[in-house]
Amino acid sequence: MSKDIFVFIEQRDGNIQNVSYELIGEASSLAEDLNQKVIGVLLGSGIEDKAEALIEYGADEVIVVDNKILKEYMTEPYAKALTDIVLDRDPEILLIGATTIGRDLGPRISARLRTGLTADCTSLFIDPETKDLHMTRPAFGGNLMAVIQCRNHRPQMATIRPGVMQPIERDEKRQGIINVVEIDFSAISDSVEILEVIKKEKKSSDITKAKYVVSGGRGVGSKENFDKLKELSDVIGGEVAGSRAAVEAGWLETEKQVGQTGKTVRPDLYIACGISGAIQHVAGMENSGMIIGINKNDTAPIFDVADLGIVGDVNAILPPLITAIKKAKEEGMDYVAPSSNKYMGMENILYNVNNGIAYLTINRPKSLNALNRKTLLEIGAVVDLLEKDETVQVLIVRGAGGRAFVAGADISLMLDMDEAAGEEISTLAQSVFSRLKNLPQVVIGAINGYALGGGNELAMACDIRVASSRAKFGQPEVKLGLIPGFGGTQRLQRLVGQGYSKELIFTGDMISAEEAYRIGLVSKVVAPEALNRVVNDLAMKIMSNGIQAVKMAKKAINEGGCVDLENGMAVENREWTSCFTNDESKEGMSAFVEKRKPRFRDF
Amino acid sequence: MKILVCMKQVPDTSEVTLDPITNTLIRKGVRSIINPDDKAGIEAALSLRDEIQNSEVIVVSMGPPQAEIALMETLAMGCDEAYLISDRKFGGSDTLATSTILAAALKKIGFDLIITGRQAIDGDTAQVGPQIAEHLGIPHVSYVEEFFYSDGGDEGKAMIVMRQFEDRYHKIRVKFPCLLTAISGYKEPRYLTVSGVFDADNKEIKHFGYEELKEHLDESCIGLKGSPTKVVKSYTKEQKSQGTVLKGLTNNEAVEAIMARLKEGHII
Ligand SMILES: Cc1cc2nc3c(=O)[nH]c(=O)nc-3n(C[C@H](O)[C@H](O)[C@H](O)COP(=O)(O)OP(=O)(O)OC[C@H]3O[C@@H](n4cnc5c(N)ncnc54)[C@H](O)[C@@H]3O)c2cc1C
Ligand SMILES: Cc1cc2nc3c(=O)[nH]c(=O)nc-3n(C[C@H](O)[C@H](O)[C@H](O)COP(=O)(O)OP(=O)(O)OC[C@H]3O[C@@H](n4cnc5c(N)ncnc54)[C@H](O)[C@@H]3O)c2cc1C
Repeated sequence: MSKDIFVFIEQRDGNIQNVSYELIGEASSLAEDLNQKVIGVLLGSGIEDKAEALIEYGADEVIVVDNKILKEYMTEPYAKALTDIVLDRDPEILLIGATTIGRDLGPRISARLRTGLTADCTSLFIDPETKDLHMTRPAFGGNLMAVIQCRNHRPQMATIRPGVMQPIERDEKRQGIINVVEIDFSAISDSVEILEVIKKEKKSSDITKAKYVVSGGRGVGSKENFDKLKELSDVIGGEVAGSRAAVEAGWLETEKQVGQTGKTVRPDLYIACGISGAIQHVAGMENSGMIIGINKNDTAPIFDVADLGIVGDVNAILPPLITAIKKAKEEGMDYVAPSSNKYMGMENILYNVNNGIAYLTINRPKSLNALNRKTLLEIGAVVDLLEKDETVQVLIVRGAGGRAFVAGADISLMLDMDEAAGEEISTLAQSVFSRLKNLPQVVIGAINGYALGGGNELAMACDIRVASSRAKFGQPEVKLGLIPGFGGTQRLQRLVGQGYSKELIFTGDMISAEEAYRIGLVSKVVAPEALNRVVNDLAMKIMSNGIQAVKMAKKAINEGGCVDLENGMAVENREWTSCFTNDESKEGMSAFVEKRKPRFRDF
Repeated sequence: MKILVCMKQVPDTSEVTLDPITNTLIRKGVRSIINPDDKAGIEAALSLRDEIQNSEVIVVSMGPPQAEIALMETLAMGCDEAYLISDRKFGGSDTLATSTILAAALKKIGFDLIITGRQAIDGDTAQVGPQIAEHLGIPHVSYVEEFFYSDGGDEGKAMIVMRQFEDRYHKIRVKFPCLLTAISGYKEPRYLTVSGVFDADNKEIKHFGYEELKEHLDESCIGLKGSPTKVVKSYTKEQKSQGTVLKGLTNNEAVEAIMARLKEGHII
């Protein structure tokens, strides 16, 4: 039977390419879902010593073919080696980077093996029921996303766009097998011959590795104006890039083009200056952490992807911006813009509101969004705001980065806590979570990855939990000699019953999203890439109903959960009665009688 | 020498827009064009024909009957013959099935050199070229930016091509028969000429269906049934909707707004 996830490891001049570490990271998470292994296939010449690093990055085994014929990439020797290995080992899945090498090798092999190949994927996940691979990829120049499956052929092959998946952290203690194999290349004909290898000059640094990118388009207007972009990128320590129009105008080298036919970048910050935001451009930068767009035209599509859009003349804004940043740096971190936004002080969470929906994102992806004191305080500050904010009807709580919702409390911070500090943190967390639970708004948890310990407790403080199929749940505290302290022993039993709750807490076991769904811990499991959409749709659906009624229902359920049935009925009776004091119920019922849609939003 | 060029008729994806209400692609009224990389391939083929004696350029396209329009255009550009590969049985083919069918047609026509585009701008897979070469058992070189013919003395006739990578070029010699996939550069392909258009009117597009190709085709390897990959769902990209757009700010206010975000994101 087919098994294991094979990753073609791309090297150039003996250097393993980043995309290979990214694919091993992604393969590790798929392997976990399938309970299988990650196997790297490293082809090259004089590269045997590179295998170790692949294991440290997550491979369980590395198959190495070390042969002079593999020094520079050539289709046939590479295809022969990889095909022989696949035929010998019968993988379940074969992943290849969608580089100019992978997109040459992939189709050749897929035709040889007569199996399917999905091109240039940006997201993968394992169907929890059939265990088949779902591959999502953009087509029509990025206008359309398609989910593709290859049900009846193995291996399921995909090329994966570089820069999209996340490598996992290197662990020098990780152990694995290195397996050197011989391939017989004697039958390869001499019909293709490399006459010369011409390296492209590396004039400039690599924009795909930059933490911050300042990018310019046609709207920048001239090469001289581009110097300002360079100055801005220098003061923040980033790189300059641009749109195809900027490259075609000769303001920028081709290597600096971002987009479908250029590079894909995902820096922490992407500032798009005078770029319209054509779909082909956006395809290369939409996964950036924060996107700031500056454009004269308020209908420019760049504003659809920007976290912050400024309608204005980029050449007038950049010079004072550069001055302000320089000044801020001189004055230390304390520069506060005179009328800066009120959420500015927050370090560990992001908070935005759009059309009545607020988004609270725990934003410490490098620590898997672990909760520390500051993060709890910042969640508390958002709760403060929301308690008074009548413009917000639904709050969505989620975790940044692809891997975790919240992986727990920050253990490094708890190491040297004494009794008093322990009590303080539990009191703080319990009170913040309880206030979150009792907000007038509906609170939905969008659980995209690990929800462990404090993370599961935060999730349980939400009214509704929707999980991605990749999410994992658990209360592992006993493994550390602790017990859940942010509400876990109390809320879990109310959601899933005492028996299951005790099993989870006593074993510290981690359960899958499916299992969480089965026991009623979450109310939906969806594909990872669909999570945001489903949660948004859910929020909109709730908001299309009588929102006052929703709020009263929430109150009745919350309060009723803490009292016995008889008192619960009294609570319901009270809230029901008060429905008749507002116009919403009148509108709802008249609309029903008049066979029309109610217009709740008018109230 | 027989030079075969594969050409796909595609919607001009730079004109595809989204219906803001249903959030689906609006394909109606979108122009159909010759796939840009294929245009580069045709141009390369025509230049080679100018250089190599007794050579001809034959264009092959698989698609619905409307693809005849694009084939007429290639004839008007000066190509010698054009084939439309069309049959109900071919519908729903993924790249493996598409390449299987095209390989059968190319085999039937006969070839010394096959040129395909690197990538079609609608399906966007860049897989069909290398897959055709594999089915035909001939070598291929993809991502070709420049094509030269060498009648090569002792070494024999061959193509010398510049193969592009992210960080380098390979200058490659490849013997016939072979398949090359072309990338469109910034070089303008030749325009239709008056005489070309006139000639085109006198040429006929030839048709192959399943019947004509069945000697080279296994029915289980074509169409929807013969396609290992299935598109199970497609959707237009969700718009990221949490952003704020600020309008009518003074330059200083704009600077303040950006500074606030940079601080929030710990960038400064
Ligand atoms: C097959 C294909 C592949 C492509 N691949 C890529 C790719 O990889 N990368 C890429 O970038 N493009 C790509 N393109 C091109 C893409 O479609 C756009 O044409 C290109 O991105 C436009 O660049 P731009 O935004 O700089 O220019 P424009 O679209 O001309 O936009 C300029 C913008 O600047 C604004 N502006 C003007 N003056 C000012 C000012 N003073 N201050 C602020 N704003 C101002 C304008 O309002 C406008 O929005 C591709 C196209 C095709 C068909
Ligand atoms: C949304 C969507 C996603 C898809 N994803 C995949 C996928 O991941 N894997 C997969 O196997 N199939 C996929 N398909 C099916 C695939 O698009 C079709 O098989 C298509 O006919 C060929 O692929 P392409 O357009 O990507 O061509 P490419 O492989 O990008 O084309 C390369 C070159 O091959 C030649 N060529 C391609 N098609 C023809 C033709 N019909 N006639 C003549 N020459 C041609 C042209 O020279 C072209 O430049 C997808 C289809 C859709 C609608």
